[in-house]
Amino acid sequence: MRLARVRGSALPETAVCIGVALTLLFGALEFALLGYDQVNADGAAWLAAHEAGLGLSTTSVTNAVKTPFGAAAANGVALNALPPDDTTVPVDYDYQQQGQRHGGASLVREAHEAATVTTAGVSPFVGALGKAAQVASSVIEPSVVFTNFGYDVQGVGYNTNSGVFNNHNAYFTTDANVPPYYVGFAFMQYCPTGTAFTASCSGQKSVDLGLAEYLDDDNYGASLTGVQTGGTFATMACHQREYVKLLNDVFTSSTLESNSPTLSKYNETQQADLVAIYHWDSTYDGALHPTNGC
Amino acid sequence: MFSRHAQRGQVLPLYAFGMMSLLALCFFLFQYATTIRWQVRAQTAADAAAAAALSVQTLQWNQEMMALHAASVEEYRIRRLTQTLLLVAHYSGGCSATPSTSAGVCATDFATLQPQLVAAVKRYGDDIALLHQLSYPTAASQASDANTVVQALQANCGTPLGGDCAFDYTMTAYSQRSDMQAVSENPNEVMVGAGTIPAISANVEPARVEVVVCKDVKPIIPSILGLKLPTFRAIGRAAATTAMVTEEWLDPGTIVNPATNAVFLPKETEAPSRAVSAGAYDWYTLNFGGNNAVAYPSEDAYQLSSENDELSAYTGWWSTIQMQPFAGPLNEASISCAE
Repeated sequence: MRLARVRGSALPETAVCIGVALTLLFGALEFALLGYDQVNADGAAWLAAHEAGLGLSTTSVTNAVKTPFGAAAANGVALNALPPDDTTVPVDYDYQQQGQRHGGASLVREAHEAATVTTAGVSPFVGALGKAAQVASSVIEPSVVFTNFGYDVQGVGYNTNSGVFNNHNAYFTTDANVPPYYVGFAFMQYCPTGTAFTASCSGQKSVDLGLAEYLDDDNYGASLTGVQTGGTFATMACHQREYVKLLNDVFTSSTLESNSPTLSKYNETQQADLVAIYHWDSTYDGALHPTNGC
Repeated sequence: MFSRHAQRGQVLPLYAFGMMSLLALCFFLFQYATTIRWQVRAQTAADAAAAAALSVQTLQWNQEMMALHAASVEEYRIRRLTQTLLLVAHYSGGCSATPSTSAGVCATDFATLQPQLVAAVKRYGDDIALLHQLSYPTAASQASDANTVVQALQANCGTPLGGDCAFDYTMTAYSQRSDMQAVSENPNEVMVGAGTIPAISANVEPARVEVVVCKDVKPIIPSILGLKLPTFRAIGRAAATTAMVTEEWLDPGTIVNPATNAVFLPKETEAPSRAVSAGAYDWYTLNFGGNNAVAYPSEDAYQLSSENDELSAYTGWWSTIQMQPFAGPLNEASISCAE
């Protein structure tokens, strides 16, 4: 066999083998790079959803994503605020007025924040063939929003969310974000003329009970807690003492009248005690001085 | 010399190089995915720990609010009973009597109502005692409680009471949240502090906490060709705060269980009804009235109406919500990191 006849005979085999090998290798490399992009997009979507759930703006979320996952992923972030799940059990407490409700309302609802990251993908090989690969990933994380802010925590479409979620805001920027005990107050209203309390009642009175005081400046700043002197709830202990005093005044009477002793004595003593008790209270339009007499 | 035999294996180095490169790429891809997985796991652990750290304060405040609510209802009952007893003592309020000869029915009513006042005052005393028991935590003790919870998560890891055993937990910051909205009047439209927002004691301010979890994650392959691969530090950092998430108010006799159509809490009648003819007012019934707040679609807001003598006793339930970390740049030297 002459060398000239042998020379180059392996070239076609080599060309085929190298071609197949390179195709396989570049294909595998392409998949590896796509895998990298997918993992990158997954991480970026998760981070974006998590940060958006904390109430960050779109710009802040983008900046947060850019550092660990790159500008390409950050620029591909799309956020979508999703309403809470529908109420599965319809709640209509007021049997007389359907569509209205009493009893309670959620201030902070469990909403969601969806983030989708779409990147063009780094695909130098397949891309060169006109098949630019695109990867995308979506993640949903919980978010904190106050729906229907502005004194309307129930509002339109409470069950369906449709009306509520259009009017939502991050918790920390709404009027729900108030000091503790703001909504933990109580007062009683009554008609002083002894008639039914209706719109026709004139001169209606409002008296503040224990809880109403918690918005007063003298207990917000109390350095002590509890009901002891100087404590946040000290006034309630004072009230308790006055009530006990009222009972003692009534039941320890030594000058009972023969005709209707208990009633008469109660009549005398309780009026004085009630003057003290109601001196705690304010009138409807008056200043709040719940600690008067305490 | 050229021969077919001599040309065998020419592709092998290229193939081997390619395979090595591919394997290296796969390794780094896997390592990257592992890094992200650990980071997500760390953040999840931190989120849960931050929420748990404030559970003591939320539990404390929920119990406190419950006691306050009960005390308020009882105080309303006492006030109403005292008013009613005074009316009865005046032979008024609907009871019939001939004062010159006998107290008549008024005496009977008085005898019925009086023990109820005694019982109500006793219950009020119980409420106050309970409130006092619940109300001692200070801002400092609340911070200590939060740290205890975080340490308990570490100690009880792997159990339903614990956290993720892979991480070390550190409470890196605890303070009171002072970014609340200004409140210059109470919902009864009464100005407080002459319209100036009063300083609030730290004891009753919602807390915020920051928790960091950490683990040094070793690479799956410690070294390649003598090259030691770096350790990845997975850090999860999360913050949470307490917030009132639900508001409720009392409305006995009105709030109906949809399943049974029966009221959850009926109106109270302290003595047999003796409505006063004028206005058909019954001093012996404790209607409570409730806040009677309803949502009117046309108003897109609450609307309050008073249809009875009214007790407005709101209460709310506290829980934890997540928030952005607030303590500035993280000082890694201050945290513990699991290996």
